Parts: sequence; C-alpha cells; structure tokens
Amino acid sequence: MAFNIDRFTRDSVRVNWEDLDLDVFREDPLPAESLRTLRYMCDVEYHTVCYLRDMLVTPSRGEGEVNAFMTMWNREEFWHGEALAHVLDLHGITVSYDELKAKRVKLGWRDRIAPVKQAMLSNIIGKDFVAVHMIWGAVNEWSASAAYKRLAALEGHPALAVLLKRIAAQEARHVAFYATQARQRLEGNRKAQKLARLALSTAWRPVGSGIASDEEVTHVMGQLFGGADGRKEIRAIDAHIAKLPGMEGLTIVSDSLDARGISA
Amino acid sequence: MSASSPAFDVRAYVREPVDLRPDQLDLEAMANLPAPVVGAVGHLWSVERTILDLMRDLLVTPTHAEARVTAFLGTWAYEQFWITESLAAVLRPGGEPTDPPDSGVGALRRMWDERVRPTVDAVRTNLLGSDVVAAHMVTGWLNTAVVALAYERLGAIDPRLRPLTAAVAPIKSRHLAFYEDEAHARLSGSAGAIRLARRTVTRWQWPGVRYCGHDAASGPVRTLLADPAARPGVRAVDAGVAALTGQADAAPLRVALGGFVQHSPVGGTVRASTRVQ
Repeated sequence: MAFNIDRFTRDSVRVNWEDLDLDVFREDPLPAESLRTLRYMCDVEYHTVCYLRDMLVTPSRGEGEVNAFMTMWNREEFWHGEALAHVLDLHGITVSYDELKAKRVKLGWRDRIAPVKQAMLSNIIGKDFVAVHMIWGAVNEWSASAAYKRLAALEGHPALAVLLKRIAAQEARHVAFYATQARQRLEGNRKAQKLARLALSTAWRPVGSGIASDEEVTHVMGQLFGGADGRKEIRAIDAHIAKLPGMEGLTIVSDSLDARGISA
Repeated sequence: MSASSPAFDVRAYVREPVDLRPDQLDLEAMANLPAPVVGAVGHLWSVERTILDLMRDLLVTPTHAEARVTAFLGTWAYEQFWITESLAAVLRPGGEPTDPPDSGVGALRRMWDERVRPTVDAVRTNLLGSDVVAAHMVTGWLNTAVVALAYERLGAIDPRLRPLTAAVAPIKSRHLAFYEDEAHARLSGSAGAIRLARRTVTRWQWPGVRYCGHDAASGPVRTLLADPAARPGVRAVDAGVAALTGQADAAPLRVALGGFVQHSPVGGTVRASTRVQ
C-alpha cells in the first residue's frame, strides 16, 4: 500500500456536512445510547491535539513526511469533532470550547505528564520509537474507521450514515499513511519489531481509554463491536495488524474486548 | 464584551482558512531574484517552517487545555504549512531550500530543545499554571508581527514578490488579531501573567537565530530592515507590544536587533546598517 504525502496534503479538506439533512434530528432524534457513543467519539476527535502533543516530543517530529501528515491529520480530526458536535447540538447537547477545556483540566497530572513520559521513553529508545508511533497510529485509525462504519450501519440513518462514512473515509487515508510508514520502518528491523510488539501487547487500549471512564469505553465498544458482526470487524483489524512485519499472531483488539467482557 | 472575554471568533476563523498554495502564484514572475532577496525569502522559509516546533512548545504547557487556543492552532498550522510550501516553491528554482547550519552553541541548544526541554517545560509550566498561556499569546503576537513586517518589507524591496506578500498579509492579520485578543484578555487583572509575559518579552530574540546564531541571520535581517523606510514598521511592532497590558515600556524588536549589532564584526557594515533608532 503506497502513500503519496503530496497528494494527501493537497487533497486534505475539512469534512463537510452542510449538504446533509441533519435537521431531521430535531423531530426524529437518535437514541440515547448512540448519542452517548457519538459524544465519546466527539471527545476523542477533539483530543487529537493532545495526542499530537505527545508525539511532538518524540523523534517522530522532524521527519518531513510525518510533520506534513500531522498538520493535516490534526486539522481533519478537529473537524470530525466539529461535525459530531453539530449532530450533538441538534439534540440539545452543546460541546463548547469551555467544556472541552474543563475536561482537559480535569484529566489532571496524568494528562499533563503524558508528554514527559513519552519524551523520556522515546529518548531512551531513539529512532525506533517512530516505528512504534506509526503502528500505534495505524491500529487506532483502523479502530476509528471501523467504529464509524459500524455506527453508520447500526443506526441506518441516511444523513448520519453519509456523514460517518465521510469521516471513515478520511480515517482510512490516515490508516494508509500510518500503515505504510509502519511497514517501512518495521521491515528488516528486529529491534523495532520487538519494541512495537511489546508496546502493543502490553500497553494498547481502545482509543479514548485515556480520556474516558472505563464504563464509557465498555459502553462504546459493546454497542459498536458486540455480537457476531461487530467481532468480525475487530478480527479484521487484528488481521491487518498481524500482517505487519513481526506482528504475526497478535490479537490485541479482540483481547481488549474480551477483557471488557464484550461478547462475540 | 468584558476585558477578560476574548472577542476573536475562533469558530469563524477555523471555518475559513486561507491556504496560500504554490499554484496560486505566478512563480515564473518571481524567478531570478537577486541573491540578498533570495536570502531573505530563505530566512522566512526557515522561520515559517518551524510550525510543529512551536506547537510542541505550546502544547506541553497548560496551553494545551485551552480548547479555543488549540482550535486556532490547528488551522494556524494548516495556513503556515501552505505559506511554507509557497516560499519553498519560490526558492526551488535555485535549489531545494535548506536550513542554515547550526552554530556550535546552536547544536547544543537543538539537542536540549529536542531531548530535554519538552520535559522540563512540561513540568515547569504546569507548576506555573495558566498564567503561562498569556506569555505564549504575547510571544505569538510578537513573532507574527515581526514576520508580517518582514513580508511587508520584502514586497517593498522587490515588487515581483508583492503577489506573495500581499496574499500572506491578511493571513498574518488574522493571526495577530487572535493573539492580541487572547493576550489582552489573559493579561487583564493577572499580575502573574503580566510578570511572566514581561520576562518572555525581555528574553525574546529575532525568530530563527536560536540554532543558526545571529551571524547566519544578519544578512537577511539587513536586507529586510536596514533601509530607514523599515523604521516605522519596527517602531509599530514595539508599540504593539507596549500597548499590551503591563508591557508599557517594552521594545523587544529594537533590543533584538541590537543583538545583531553585538554579533556583527567590529566596525562592519552590519553594525551600522541594522541599527534602528
């Protein structure tokens, strides 16, 4: 899978929803469980800038293509947050900048110290940390893309489905970047492979685990990926991961659902 | 609107970014620029492309929690990216642009900045608390005002670059409006914020000299600001800082230009030509 960074930066746009008839939600609102999931997704998207921060203190910053990607990626993810915030707003749920700030402040020292931990770890590991960053990003983007597609299918709402599929399509381009970079950096590099495998198998958690309560994570994962169809998507993500150099046999996403008691 | 409530409409700003892409410029008309002008464009490219360094420096501090600021920064970075790409396109006929080499001290600073400073800053600024955001907004304004002045001068020095500099000007104006608004709101009524901002302004240096040193930047600075016609612009930048709450007697740009005098060869042309009264 090749990735053309020039084409990606050239074509990067904010996700659009103005042409969609989302006002129908005023009379025909989404169920509470889906709004809860959308709120979680919205928070995660807005929090991207903090994930970006944690990466900017590592050797990943300074890599030309990575810098260009991160600039566009951060903006696209921000707009995913704006789009979902619009849907929530139509349901009377306001996501303001003040509220986002309050949430970030509430995360406390765990959040503030995150870049310190990341910087120290990456200083010890050196350049191979970039490979870990890339495979980590790939897993998260595969998960995000699958999550949007699942919610679109589960809700079956025509306008919402189009919006979620547009977001998923952008996430898929992010996958292409991360997976291409991960493959290039892991290929033939046993040390990077071992590090990536160790990091994923011991530290990876579903996207949003760092900012949401366990209860919320379990709700979202259960709604989107519980049951046979959901688990099929999860297995597909694990299969993608396992195809990357040195990752054979890893089933971290399935394992994380099992650990939360989410049935297949 | 009270003094403590920023008025800049961040949501309107992020909705309508201005992406100055190379294909919007008549690059052929900007070919064969004189060497000093190419040097000045190269210097600006080198300064503008430190987008993610600046984001890193801000985001490891309590500023990362300010959702208004991070929303702005995401779009700011996008606009900066395309400005940098356009500058690179102007320079490319003369070869792929590169940063000036680090000076001896600059190399050590870079190592410190990349390996140690994010950690130290994250701890230090989180202990200082949200007052540090005001200092960041003041620095943001100052850096942007100086770069905006540089573009203005570049357009005056070589009219062929005016389509570029005229396109950049409104982008910088919006950035300045955001920083000014935030700085005013955050400095109002906070002695700690004023103190931190004053310290930051006092230590401010011309952008881009931290690693390459004053010698490498002195040529472009001379090209841009040596002409007496630049003096009103320099004074305006300093006056803009001095107009911010608690910064009344600040003249950071004049002081920073003095740094070039100190680093110039004794009796050399740099001393005479970069002095701005």
